[in-house]
Amino acid sequence: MKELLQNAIRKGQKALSEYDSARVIASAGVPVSKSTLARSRDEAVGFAREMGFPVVLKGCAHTVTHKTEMGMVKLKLKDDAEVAAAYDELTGKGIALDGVLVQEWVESDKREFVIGLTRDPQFGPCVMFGLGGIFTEVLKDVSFRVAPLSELDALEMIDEIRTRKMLDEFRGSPAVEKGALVKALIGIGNLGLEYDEIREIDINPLVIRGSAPLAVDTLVILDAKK
Amino acid sequence: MKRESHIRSLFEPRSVAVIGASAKPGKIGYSVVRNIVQGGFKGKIFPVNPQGGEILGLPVHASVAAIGEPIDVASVIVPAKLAFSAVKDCADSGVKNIQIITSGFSEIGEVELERRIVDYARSRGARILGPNIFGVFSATSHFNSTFSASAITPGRVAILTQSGALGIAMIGKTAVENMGLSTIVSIGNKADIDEADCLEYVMEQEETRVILMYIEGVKDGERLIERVRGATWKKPVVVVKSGRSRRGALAAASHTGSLAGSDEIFDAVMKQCGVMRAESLQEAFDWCKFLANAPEPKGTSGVIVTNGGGVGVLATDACEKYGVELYDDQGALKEVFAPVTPDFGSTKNPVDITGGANSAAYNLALSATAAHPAMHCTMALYCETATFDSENLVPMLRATYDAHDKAGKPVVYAVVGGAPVEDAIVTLRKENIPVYGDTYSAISCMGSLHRYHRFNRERDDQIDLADIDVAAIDAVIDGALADGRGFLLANEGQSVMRAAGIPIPGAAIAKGMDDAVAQARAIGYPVVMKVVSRDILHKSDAGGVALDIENDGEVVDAYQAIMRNCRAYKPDAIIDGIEICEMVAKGTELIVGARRDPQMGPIVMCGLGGIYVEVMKDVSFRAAALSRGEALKMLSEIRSYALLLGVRGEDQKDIAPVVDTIIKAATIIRSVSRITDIEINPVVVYEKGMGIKAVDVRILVRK
Repeated sequence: MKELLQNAIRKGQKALSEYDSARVIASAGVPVSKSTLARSRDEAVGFAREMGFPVVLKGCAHTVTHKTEMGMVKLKLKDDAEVAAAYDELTGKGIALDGVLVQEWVESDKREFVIGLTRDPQFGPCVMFGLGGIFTEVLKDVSFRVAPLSELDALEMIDEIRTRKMLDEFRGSPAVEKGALVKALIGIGNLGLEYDEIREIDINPLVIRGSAPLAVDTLVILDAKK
Repeated sequence: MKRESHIRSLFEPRSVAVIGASAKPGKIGYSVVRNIVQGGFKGKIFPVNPQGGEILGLPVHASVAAIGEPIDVASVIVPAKLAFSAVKDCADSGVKNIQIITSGFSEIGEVELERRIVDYARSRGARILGPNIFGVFSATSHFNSTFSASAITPGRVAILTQSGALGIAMIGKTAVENMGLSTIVSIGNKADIDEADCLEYVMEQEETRVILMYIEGVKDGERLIERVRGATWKKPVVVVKSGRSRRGALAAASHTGSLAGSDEIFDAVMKQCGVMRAESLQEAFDWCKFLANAPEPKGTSGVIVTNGGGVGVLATDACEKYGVELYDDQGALKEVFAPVTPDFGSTKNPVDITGGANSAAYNLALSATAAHPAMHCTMALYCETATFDSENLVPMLRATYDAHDKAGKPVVYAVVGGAPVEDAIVTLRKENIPVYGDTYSAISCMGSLHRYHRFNRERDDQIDLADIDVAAIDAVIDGALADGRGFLLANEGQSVMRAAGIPIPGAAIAKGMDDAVAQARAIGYPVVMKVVSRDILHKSDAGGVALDIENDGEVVDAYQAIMRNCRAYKPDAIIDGIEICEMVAKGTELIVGARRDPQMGPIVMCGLGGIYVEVMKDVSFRAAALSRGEALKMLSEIRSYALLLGVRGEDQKDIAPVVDTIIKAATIIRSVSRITDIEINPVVVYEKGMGIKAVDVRILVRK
């Protein structure tokens, strides 16, 4: 892991690609949606079949940090033809890619959260939890704790957001497994303590599948000085 | 008789009768007579008690009728069980105003007795103040008919209070604070005369510069709103309200009801009317005392002068919180303050003349702010230091206050320190110099002054109404009521939306396959198809719903599938047809609502809609009598407003039709009295120029 981060920094990267970000985040015990990196159209179609339709395709490179705005996400592709067309579109944008990420399509129940890591100049690595998706920046319904987190810290920060009711049984969906959230928050805090190379982590959205949290979109930002 | 002159006679009577007057000190019947006499009332005073005799040299009359002269005010102090006959005697004798000091009426459940009293008085043209009050004081007429233990210092603040005990306590407190009163009246149970009536008097009363109201609950919000709107034009109105979340649990059947604890509505409506709500009595007193004496600032730019960085930063934070702008012309600041600021200080605002500053330095700095035409108000801070000549603290504060006073410029002081500083606060507050022991208190006062004047500069009292078809809405309500329902069905709700001109998704009921294709074409693809059957409540479970139908062929397929599924699900179901609906495209989901609040009257609401309504509670409220500008302001207050402006590279959303919808909902609730609640959720908002769609509407009605 250390090597992955150091290599990226040596190459002058400011961030990890989503593929690498997902690996780092999964290593901390956060469930991440299934994905594979395809380097050709045929590979993309093949991975999609293995994974089962529908799938999501994302242009994958360390420079692609605002995928949606850059048009680098193709959602809910239903068959071979759609995957092939999406592959061509993503690779035809003139942006250098490591490949195209083929990701399982997660049917979420509209509950989206965010988990983040920031480095405070005084307090060091801090973990953030809150409402995700488009509402993160709009409603700013988030809470923070300084790493390392105890279980109680994690539970408290989960309980501090205004929209905590969405973690209970909500509109026909079961209550969210808080244990899994706690584990994820503690894990992300530990990543920050262990690797100085990581400047920020952004998991947004973290969706709820059934009752379990699942990271759908992940980003690790690097600290070039390390 | 004009109502206004009537209410004035309550405060400035020519004659007063005290029913239940007593010669025994310690009795309320004695205190009231004593206060009227000692207060210097110039009119006639008639103590009434069947026992006769004399009180404080005044002859006691056996009854009101026996007085034989016109009476403007009668103060009733007899026990509750005798109150009706006392009021009857007064009203029969032509008394104009009857203040019932006695308690033991609606506040303990004796609603019927209270109503009989008011009905009788009104039938004779008399009005009732109270019951359950401490009386009335007006500085104009030197009329003190309260049973307060201490004399009332005349001054510029009018107090209207619902609580009697608190009112009496306020009299004592205002005396300590040397905050003179122009009027104080306790309104008690407001069986007849209420805050709105009393506002009419104090807003015109010359002596009153500021009005303070203590409110527990509102009875006729619409009228109160109208009156406070009038009052805030003339003078600042400060309110303290208790009962912040009492009614939350009573939440009505609609979101507007459950989201709107009555306190949130009260808060929003008071803001809309320019009334300033204080958190605590102390804050309210501080504001009132300051507002009563401070001149109107000639502009918005303030200067902070401090001898310590810490309090300077606290004051800067407070300025942001309370809306005081800071003067920012670095050049001018340097020019003005360089002579009194050492090199290690700062001439930036806050101006730090450093811990070495003595009274002379303060005098120089503060006379400069007083004189500078572009510095419109001053906030002077002092932290006790060893280098300051403490014996000159009070003279310095006095002198610089006078300089500001002469220049017609508002100033506040926050001084922090030990005994000499605390003594200075006590001394100067008695002289009505605005000195506080805390920066936030000082700056919240300055903020209240700016807030008041800013509101009046920017206020918009226009009421915009939409053109709606009230007759059509009435017809829909008639139908629902005839059916014994207190709510409208989906199609009835849609009819109301149409009558108000609020866009809704296209929908039609097809009676056969060919009809289905024709309707789908007319509405425009894609469409949704749903079975219409009173025998099938859960349409999805029955396979009676088909989404995202994109062409004629898919309509035919879906039609057959729905019929087949529903017959299999319930063979004997009567199928009335298939509803073809426009498939509503995704957009930003808002909620727009309106309701008749039991206290505040017709109100409107808007906020973030869809599934997030309850978890986010991101909503704002207004009285339904509002302008389009105010509706836009209300919309821009919700946190999710950023979604309408466009986030993550999205285009701006179509805000104008949302404002239209708010005005339309407000118009419906104001014009159709049988509608109690409207909730449109979601209102889907598209990109600018693409309009909105009211997807779902719930309306509650009453007879």
